[in-house]
Amino acid sequence: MQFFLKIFLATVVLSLAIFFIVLYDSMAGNNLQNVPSEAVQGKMIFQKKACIECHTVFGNGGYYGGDLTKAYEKFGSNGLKEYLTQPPLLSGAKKKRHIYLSNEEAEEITAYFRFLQSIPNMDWPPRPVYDRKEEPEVK
Amino acid sequence: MFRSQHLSYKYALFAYFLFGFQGLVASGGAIDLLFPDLGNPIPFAAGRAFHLNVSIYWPLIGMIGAIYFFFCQEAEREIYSLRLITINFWMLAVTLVLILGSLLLGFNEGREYLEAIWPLKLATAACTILLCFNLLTTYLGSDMPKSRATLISMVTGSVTLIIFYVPNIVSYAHPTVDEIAKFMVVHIWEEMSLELIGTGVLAALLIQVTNVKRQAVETAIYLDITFAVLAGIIATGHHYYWIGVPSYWLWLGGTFSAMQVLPAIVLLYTTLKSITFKGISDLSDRDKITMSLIGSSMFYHIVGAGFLGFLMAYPPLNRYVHGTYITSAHSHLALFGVFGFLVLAVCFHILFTEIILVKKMYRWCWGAIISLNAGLLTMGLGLLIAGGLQVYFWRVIGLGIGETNEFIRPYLFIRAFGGFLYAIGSLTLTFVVIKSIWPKIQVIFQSEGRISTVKYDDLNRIHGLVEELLQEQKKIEPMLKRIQVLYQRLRLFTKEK
Repeated sequence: MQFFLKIFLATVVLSLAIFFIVLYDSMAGNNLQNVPSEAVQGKMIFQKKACIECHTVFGNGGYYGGDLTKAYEKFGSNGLKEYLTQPPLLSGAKKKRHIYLSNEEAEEITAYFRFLQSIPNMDWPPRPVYDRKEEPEVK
Repeated sequence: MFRSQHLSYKYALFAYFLFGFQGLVASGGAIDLLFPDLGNPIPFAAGRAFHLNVSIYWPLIGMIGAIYFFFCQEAEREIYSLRLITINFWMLAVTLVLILGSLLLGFNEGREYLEAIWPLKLATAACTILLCFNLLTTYLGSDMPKSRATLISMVTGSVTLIIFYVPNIVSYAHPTVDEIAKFMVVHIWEEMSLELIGTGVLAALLIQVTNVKRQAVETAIYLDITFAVLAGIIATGHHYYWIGVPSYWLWLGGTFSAMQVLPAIVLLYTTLKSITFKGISDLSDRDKITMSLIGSSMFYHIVGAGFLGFLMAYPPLNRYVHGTYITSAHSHLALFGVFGFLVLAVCFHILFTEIILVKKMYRWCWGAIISLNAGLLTMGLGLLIAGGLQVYFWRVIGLGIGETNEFIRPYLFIRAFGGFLYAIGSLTLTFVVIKSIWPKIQVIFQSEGRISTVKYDDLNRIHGLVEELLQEQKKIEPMLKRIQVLYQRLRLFTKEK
């Protein structure tokens, strides 16, 4: 069994080494851009309000409220601020509204969405198959 | 039995309590999603965070109990510090209660699955460090071969719990880094660390229950855990496809994810190799329940985690199905289906080692297992259809969120109905366990000594021997009658003389 133990331990060390080296490469250099301070504040609000429980970012989170990775492109700065400061009813609800944010909070969270939009994530989420010709390409 | 094994009862009992509670919480959340105006006193975000945290902690607590129970059995010595086993339990229990309480009060760090505030994450890390210290010192002090596969898999799994949890104690300014760190727990804990621990625990259980030869499974365990490490760590890449990292992760994640079915196949092969139909029919009632829970875990390992996970990790397909309820179906089938059932199996085995479960309770256990499986499959089906429709409406024809939600509502009803079946199963099984354990509850929490003078396995063996004896009696009876007749004849013959 000593032989199998050696193979197993070598696999553990090698896999961990490859994983962390590739992760370092993914984050080092200019791979990740700096986050503007207003976007950092917006991310804090996003986390404090636990938005991730209903919405997804990069496709991860709650699946009922839709993905917000490209929300800035879809709704624009004014559209987002209006939605957050004058929240509409939730889908399927007659009384319950989307969470309310103050003007300042809405401003900061919009900055966060603007930053999210700029992250090169291989254009995910994909544009709808039957919408592609009508909408502009994502840079 | 070792004293360490007695101390692990409380872990198994607490895991069952949390599991039963989870059924109620999750059903409440599913109903809140369907009827947002019902006026649920717990906000949806807090409820979901509560649900996700219980889903991580209850299998973890049960698995740690199982490690203590089986590690000393495999090391053939007591765990290094008995006191640390108890301290570790109370630290974990108090940490979890504080996490759940703080989530309900609105203290939420806003990172999915890692919503607890940082001091409580630090406490969780301290709990895993205590576990590792106790295991490593026991391993080093054991006279057993250091290469014993069950010991190696449990120790390695426990050490990697710390390595991948520590980066998540804090949150990061860059959302990509946040996601990179998050999946070290959400993916690697489940698909590597717990896989290693689970394999070690399962092998130790099978060696004990089915009397399979250690040498016969030792090589298979090594094969299984080597594949689990090789595929499990780098397959994390399938969570990194769209988070803003270089495109080589598509290749890495896709290739290594495809290999993730290998450990599941080896584990299934090892389990099937160690049991026979005759062996199953000879098992005690308790071991039949344990084996059926393990069987359920194997089924979801192949179907939910293996097959569905394999399809979903293929990058061109993942691009469309990612971020929909299809992921939710996969996580329910893989997380509860694989680890939930496995933890239920080992905790059931542990709790009824010394405590005898009343015969009629077994019927309730069978009903609960059927209900849990029916509930999980119904939930999985509802979520798969809802997710499939999300893919069509969002990614194909470009419908909005609100309209899509209206279309998928019937399938979320199916999910809620599945959750209801699941809750019936989880509450029934938890009720059976707690009701049967209740008379001994004080001993479990206060003493390190024996609960009973009889071990269930011994009782079952005596029962088997009595059965054999009765069978023999049936054979002996005609012989005795013949002897009696001969004896009577002999007496008559002598009298006549």
